[in-house]
Order: sequence, then C-alpha cells, then structure tokens
Amino acid sequence: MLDLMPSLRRYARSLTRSDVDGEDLLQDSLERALVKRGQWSGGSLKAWAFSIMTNLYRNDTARATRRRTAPLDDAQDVPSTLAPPGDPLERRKLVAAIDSLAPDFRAVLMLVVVESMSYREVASLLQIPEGTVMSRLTRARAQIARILEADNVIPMRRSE
Amino acid sequence: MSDALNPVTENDLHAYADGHMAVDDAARVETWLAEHPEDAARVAAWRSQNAAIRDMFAPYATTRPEDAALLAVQARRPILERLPLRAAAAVLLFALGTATGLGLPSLLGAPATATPIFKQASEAYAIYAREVRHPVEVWAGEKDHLVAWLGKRLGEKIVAPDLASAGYTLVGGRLVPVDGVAGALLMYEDKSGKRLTLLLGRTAKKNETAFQFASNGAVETLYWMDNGLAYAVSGEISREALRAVADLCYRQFQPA
Repeated sequence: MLDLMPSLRRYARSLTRSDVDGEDLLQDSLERALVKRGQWSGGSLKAWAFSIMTNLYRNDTARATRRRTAPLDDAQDVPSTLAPPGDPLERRKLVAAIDSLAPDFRAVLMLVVVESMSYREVASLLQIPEGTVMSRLTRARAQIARILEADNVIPMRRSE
Repeated sequence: MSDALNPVTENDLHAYADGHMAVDDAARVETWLAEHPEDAARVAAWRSQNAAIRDMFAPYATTRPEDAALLAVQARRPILERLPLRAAAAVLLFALGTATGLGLPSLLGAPATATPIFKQASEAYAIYAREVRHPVEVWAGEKDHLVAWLGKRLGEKIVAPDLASAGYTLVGGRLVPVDGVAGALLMYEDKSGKRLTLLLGRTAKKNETAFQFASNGAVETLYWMDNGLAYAVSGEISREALRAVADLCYRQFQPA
C-alpha cells in the first residue's frame, strides 16, 4: 500500500480542487481501505484502492458541493516551486474547464491521462463497459474544448 | 485511401492520442490524420492537454514522511475513534446502494432498504451533528437557496422551521438518502452548541401518524408522518424538550 501512496495522492489531487480536499480524500480512502481490507478479493491492490477512492469521491456530496460553490483557487494551491511550466493563464483556463466536468467524467479523464491506465483497466476499475469509458472520455474532451473556446467562465453552478 | 473500408472512428482518435493503439492501427490513424487536418488538430490539442494535465498533477506523486505512520496509526486506531467513520461508511453504502442507480460495485455491499425512519434519523444525527468542520452542505447564511434546493430534490416545498423560541437557530442543511430517495436534513444549534436535526423524507403513502418517540443510545428521536412526508427530530436532549421542538415544526409545516 505504501508503494501506491504517490499515485493515490496524485489521483486524489487530480479529482479534487484543492490540496486540502485531496489529502482529505486520500485519508478517507485509506481509512476505508483498511476498514474494508477483508473485502479485498486478492486482485490488483492498485485497482481496488483506486476504485475505493473513486467511489468515495463520486458519492461524497458534501465534498462535491463545497467544490462547486468554492471559488476557483486551484492554481494558487500549488506552491510556486512545484507549479508546472506553461502560461499561467492557459493553465488556469484548463483547470476551470476540468473543474466543470461532472465527477464521473473527471474520474475517467484523470485515470486515462494522469494515471496512464488503459481503457480496459479503467472500465474494470469503475465496473462499467469499455464503451462507456470511451463515451465519457469523448464527452469530457468535447466539454473541455467547448469551454476553452468559449474562452472565459469559471464554473460556479450550484449543485442541484 | 481505404477510408470507406476501414474508417477511423472517434474512439480510434482518442486511443491514438492516448497512446493506446497497436502499431498497425496507429499507422492507419496516421494516414487518416494526414488527410484530415481537422481531426489532426483535435488530436494535437488533446495531446497537449494531456501533457498539461499530467504536468499539473505530477508534483503530487510523492510520498511523505508521515505516510507510513498514516497507514499504521489508522490500522491501530482505537475502535471508539473509528465509530463515526464506520457510521459514515454505512451511510455511504446506503447512498451508493440507493441514490445513484448506477449499478455500483458489489464490494460496496447491499443497500439497506427497510430501515425505519427513526433509525435513519438518529443515525443521520449521530453522523452529522458530531461533524465539526462539515456538519452541513449549505449553511444557514444561504437559507433561501437551501430550502429551495432541498425542496426541489424532495419534490415538495419545504420551510426551515424557526425554532428560536426553543433556543435553537438554523445551522444549515444537507441532502441525505431517506428510504432510498432524496431527503433533507436540517441542523439546528443552541447557544451552547448542542445540536438537533430535522430529517424530512417522502413516504410511499399519504398517511398521517401521531408523534412517536424512539431511542437509539443517547439519541432521542420524535417522528411523525403528515401529508406524504415523514418528519423526524433527533437530538441528545430530553423527550420534553424534543416534544416542544416537534410542536414548533409541526405547526410551521402546516399549510397556511
């Protein structure tokens, strides 16, 4: 499990909007995994841990609501020494576009892009058909493209 | 060239951009892209977004000195400390099993369906009233939004009863599963920080019941049904005090 910490931490942070929420999600997931460790079927520990985290993320409505109502503060959360290179404005727009994605879409995008998982791995981890992974990925990218084109907006919609 | 026979699909483009393609297929896509500059531009945009997103989160792929302790300490944490989390997990299971309808993993367990309203109410109280940082999703400062939102999810206009005469003020509210559908939990607090919750859920039938008490450990619940909704007030207070609060609620939920 300790070996998985870096990728779990990265995935948690890629799902949530802030460092605090990311660490919260990581800790909740570890707690959950430890409490439920009897249910681990002996398959891939990584897939199991990732699916626990994804489910916690997807179903934690409190966290989701906070994320949606909080002002966008992502870029500032990354200490400047860690900040990735690139035009800060462009990055900020991309962050806003990602933040507008519904949890299911965001999870798929992050598993594919950041965690470099194959579509099949993502499908089995989320227990959805591979076709659904593809359609979520397609729609996530279409939405990002739309928002980058619209060239503005920080999503502030209330959870409904 | 062989477009008609072997068209490149949208999925192929994504798989190509993500590097999930066998060499033969990749060659086919490259041929296509050479002839379709619009698709080529999209693929290029996805690739540069992929790189940007990866860069964005790469710095987080670290271990921290406290990680080992985090895993070890949690495993050994006293049972009492873990109870609220277990209860939270139970509520999550319940929400997973019932609220999403997405065909969720079986490892998350079966949904609890036949839990009586007073039990759901006292459990919700036990979990959320003890939350220090996040007792509610929407705070009382946004009361209008809160009642409109919860009312909409509940499918019934609701109010947040004014309990000032009993010494309680609204903290806020959250959406909770009640009998597998959206319900509302409103939280109140007195000056000393003692909390009460009011749970509202839809009932299958439009029946009316009297007030009924139920105890669950230290948590007292008073519940009733009225006109298609179930109400439950819970708190670690005396039955008399609870009764007074329930009276206030009941009166304010009466149509004018």
